[in-house]
Amino acid sequence: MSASPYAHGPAASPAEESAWGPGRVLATNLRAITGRAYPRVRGSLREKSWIFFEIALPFLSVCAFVLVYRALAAPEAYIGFAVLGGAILAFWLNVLWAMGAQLYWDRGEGNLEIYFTAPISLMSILLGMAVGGLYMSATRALLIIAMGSLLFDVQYSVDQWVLLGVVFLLTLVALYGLGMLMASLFLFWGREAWHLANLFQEPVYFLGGLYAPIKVLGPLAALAVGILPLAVGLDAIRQLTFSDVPDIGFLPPEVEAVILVLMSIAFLLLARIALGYFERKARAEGRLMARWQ
Amino acid sequence: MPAGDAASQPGRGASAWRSLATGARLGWAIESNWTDPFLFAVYSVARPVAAALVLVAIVWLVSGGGRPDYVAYLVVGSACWTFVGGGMAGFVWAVLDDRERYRMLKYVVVSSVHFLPFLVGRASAQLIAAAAGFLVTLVVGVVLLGVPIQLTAIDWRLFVPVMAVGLGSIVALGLAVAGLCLTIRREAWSYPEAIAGGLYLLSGAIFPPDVLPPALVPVALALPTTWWLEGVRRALLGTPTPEILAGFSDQMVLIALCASTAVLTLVSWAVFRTFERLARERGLIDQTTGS
Repeated sequence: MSASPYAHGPAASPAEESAWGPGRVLATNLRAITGRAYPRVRGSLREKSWIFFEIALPFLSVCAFVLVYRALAAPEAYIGFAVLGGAILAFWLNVLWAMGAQLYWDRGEGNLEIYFTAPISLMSILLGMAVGGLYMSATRALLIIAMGSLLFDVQYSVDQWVLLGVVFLLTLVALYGLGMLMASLFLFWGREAWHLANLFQEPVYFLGGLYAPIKVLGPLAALAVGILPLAVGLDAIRQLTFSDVPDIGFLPPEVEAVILVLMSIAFLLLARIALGYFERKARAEGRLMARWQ
Repeated sequence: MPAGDAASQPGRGASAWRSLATGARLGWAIESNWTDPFLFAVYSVARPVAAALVLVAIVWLVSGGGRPDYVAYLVVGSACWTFVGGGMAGFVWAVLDDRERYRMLKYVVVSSVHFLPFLVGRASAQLIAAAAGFLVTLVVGVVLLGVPIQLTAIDWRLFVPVMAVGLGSIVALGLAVAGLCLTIRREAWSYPEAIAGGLYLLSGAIFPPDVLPPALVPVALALPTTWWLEGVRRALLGTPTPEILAGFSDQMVLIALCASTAVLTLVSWAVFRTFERLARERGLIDQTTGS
């Protein structure tokens, strides 16, 4: 018999057939991750209208906020805040709609029951969604940064490239960890999921400091740093990307990197716990296949 | 049809009104019955209030609270914009939800319901929710941010017609986009956001049209939303927007709003009817695209 964990031969009994070794479990879940990420990676350039809207919508926001800064005769460096915010917005929108609300869509399309009947962990599906979504959003964010920087002549000033890279990656891990947690919570919900994802747009733009540093928010900034990886990550990235603009950070970037590590661990663990809990609850209440709620 | 039966049928106007009312009742139920009234109220007002606060944070950052005039400008603009976002999205989601999700659009079209008034009613629920967002954003602006709006000082003779015609222009725009959505796939959900985003830039919602590149200023002045926002600001705040718009009297603002809305309404009606006919001819009304 081949060494492939997928090679199938006759088994002596159903019990023997169902007894998977760790290698087979791992390989199956890795394939699930790849399989779920694949349509997002391949599809990221396939549907032209999606590319347009996923870039155009955040970029329209960037233009609007840049013009507000100009109307206020703000220092030119502040315009970079809006461009950076627009790029990170692409990730947040992806986390919200393509992670948080994805299982809700999947239920409507009939994919959710396939996930549950397949011999894989649902965490692998979420991880695959995150990997594919991250790639898709990164392409959009890069374009928004490039367009915004060229159009509005944004000047960046980076002194600590390594720390910037680390903080950026930690921000993405924490953000997509939060997305996985939201997907777990939304598993149980019907239309509430869609409406709540909607609700997490503008309030998060405000608390997350998407277009103005969270330091301006006063005491609310502490709340934002406590719950929103977007707020922590963006504050650190902004300080590291515009190091020549003084006094814009709420906390030093090194401290914010530590907070992001803690958030990443917490969100991934909570996602796993919530997924198990809500899966059991949804099965018990027969909600996994309920559509058009 | 026997004469007696014909006499018992409601007139066209009454029938259209009944279609509109039915659509409104259905739309309101779908919009609001997913949760308890408290959460629905929070949901309805959190977005517009937060959208205004994002802009106020920028003003604080740049001026340290030294531009109360601009804060007032932003708060009124953001409050009004809830109608544009809600109104446009209401029409598009009415088509997409009924066609793709609830799969009821085909039954609505073949029934005796008047489709256009039904759609207006169906979408009006989001306008009602937007009204709550509009009011609460203004209250937050007045109470927390010191926006100088006083009930006794509001120019109601300007506010009422400007608001009525302005909302009419939003309904007209929504109708055109809804017509377009009848012929395209499910990703049309992005259209209202994209169109509202474009109008947000051009209509002076959060900055005066003078800030735009010069080539875009005439476009801004051709939009009913620009005159609607200007009229509402004048009625509530008592002062015109500086620079270009300050050169127009209140009457001229109202006339420009009515003229641009009339043109938009005619074009939107033609667009809706054209796309509706195309959708019927091509059998798109009962197609689910699943894209």
